[in-house]
Amino acid sequence: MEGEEDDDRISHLPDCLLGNIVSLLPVKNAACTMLLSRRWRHIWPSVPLDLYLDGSNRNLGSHGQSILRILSSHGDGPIRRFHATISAHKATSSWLQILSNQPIDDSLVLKFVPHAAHPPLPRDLLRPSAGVLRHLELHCCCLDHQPGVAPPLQSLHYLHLSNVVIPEASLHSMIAGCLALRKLELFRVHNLRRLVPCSRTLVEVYIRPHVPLEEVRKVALTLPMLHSPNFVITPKRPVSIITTLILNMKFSDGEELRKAANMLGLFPCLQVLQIWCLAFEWTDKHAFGQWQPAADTITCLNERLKYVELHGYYGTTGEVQFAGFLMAGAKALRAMHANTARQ
Amino acid sequence: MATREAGKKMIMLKSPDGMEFEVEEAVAMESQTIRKMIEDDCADTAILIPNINSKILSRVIEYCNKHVPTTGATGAAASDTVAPAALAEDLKIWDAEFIKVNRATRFDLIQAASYLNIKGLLDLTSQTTIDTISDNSLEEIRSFLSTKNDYLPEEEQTIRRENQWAFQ
Repeated sequence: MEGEEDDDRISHLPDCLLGNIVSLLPVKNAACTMLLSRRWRHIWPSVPLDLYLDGSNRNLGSHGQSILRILSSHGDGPIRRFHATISAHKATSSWLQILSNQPIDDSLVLKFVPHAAHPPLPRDLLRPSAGVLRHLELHCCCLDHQPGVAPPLQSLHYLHLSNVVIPEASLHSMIAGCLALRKLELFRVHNLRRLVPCSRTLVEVYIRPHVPLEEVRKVALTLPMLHSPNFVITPKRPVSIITTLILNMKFSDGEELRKAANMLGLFPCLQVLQIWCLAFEWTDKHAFGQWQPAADTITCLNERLKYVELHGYYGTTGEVQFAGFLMAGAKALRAMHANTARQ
Repeated sequence: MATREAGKKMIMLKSPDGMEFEVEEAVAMESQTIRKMIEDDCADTAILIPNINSKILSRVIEYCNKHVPTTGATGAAASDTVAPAALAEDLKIWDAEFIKVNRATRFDLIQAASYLNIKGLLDLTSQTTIDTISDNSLEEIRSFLSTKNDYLPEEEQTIRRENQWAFQ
């Protein structure tokens, strides 16, 4: 009696609930359910694929081939997360091609092993995912996207590039297209001379340069608006590759000025400081308080900083106080220019 | 009608077989489906829960009662004295006991958890099924799921051939 009732109930579970069960299985077990019966044939391929291949999954065999097989079996079903740590292989371009035809809803992590040649990623790899991808991490590969050709990654929150070859202009246009980007991490991006992350949403930037300082004449860094309370730059250790820093400031209160002054402490080799002054409002003097840190604790002020440019300078209380602080503190200063031109 | 008892807002849930359950609003809101109804002000009178009989609904309420986060005066005191890790361990043991039910009840619970959108319960009920699928042969899984193999032998061969990596 109980048995008959059982059968009836189980066969009435809707496909989406069977899919939910299958989605919790390891990929190999999940694919096996296709063989249970005709009804089950289409359940796994319709479940969004979460693939994690990090070398610990030994029973899947050699990576390049197994990725190709898994993607082929899953057909044109949806992909939610695709994380792979792999060495480039002759099958690499085949599975990358399959991947370029599918939107990836959540995250894409591709880690190629560092000692081999950097495999190029197909130009269209991110096109289907442009509107939906939230998390992108690329290691040891080449992106030769032409600037402006790649579609903007509108939903991307997190971008990490490590040991990646990408033209500077492409990187800039990629970042500019990320309208929701919160966190940017760049490790050893080859031949990067100038970084201008144009972003209104960025709150965390992490840079670790690949080239030693001697090889670089000029590296410029533009930081997002400093007045955002969430903005942090990591690591807290000095970044000695940067020789030109571009800041956007509102000069709205003492806290912002303190942040900017402390920021200078992170760039001991700074020679040129460019500040875009973005506010017109006059603020009462007392709102600023004692924000000045001790100037002689900031290395670049003691040794390197030679030129300061203030664009859009209007002579507000904050602007005057900050210019005065630099003037008094920068021992190697050769010139400070202030003009009223706006961005 | 929502009533008040000991300062807590109560919600009435009705099963299709006519039983009524009065539960705290916080407990009912463990279900995202019911939470949405309450937040959209659709929950003035009793909420009818279709497709879930009183036997299953009472088990679901039992689960929600156990899993509702302890807040308020008594809750704060409890979490002060008991470490969170110990609480989690206690919940795990309780869950393991709770899920010792026959297959029919478990599949009913899966369906109820899905309709009421209670993620913890859905994961708990699905997990038992997953353990069976991971550890057993195809034949055993078919028998567990009461599924009949309706493939022709040649169809089965084709699937095996096309997806060889999965069956190695």
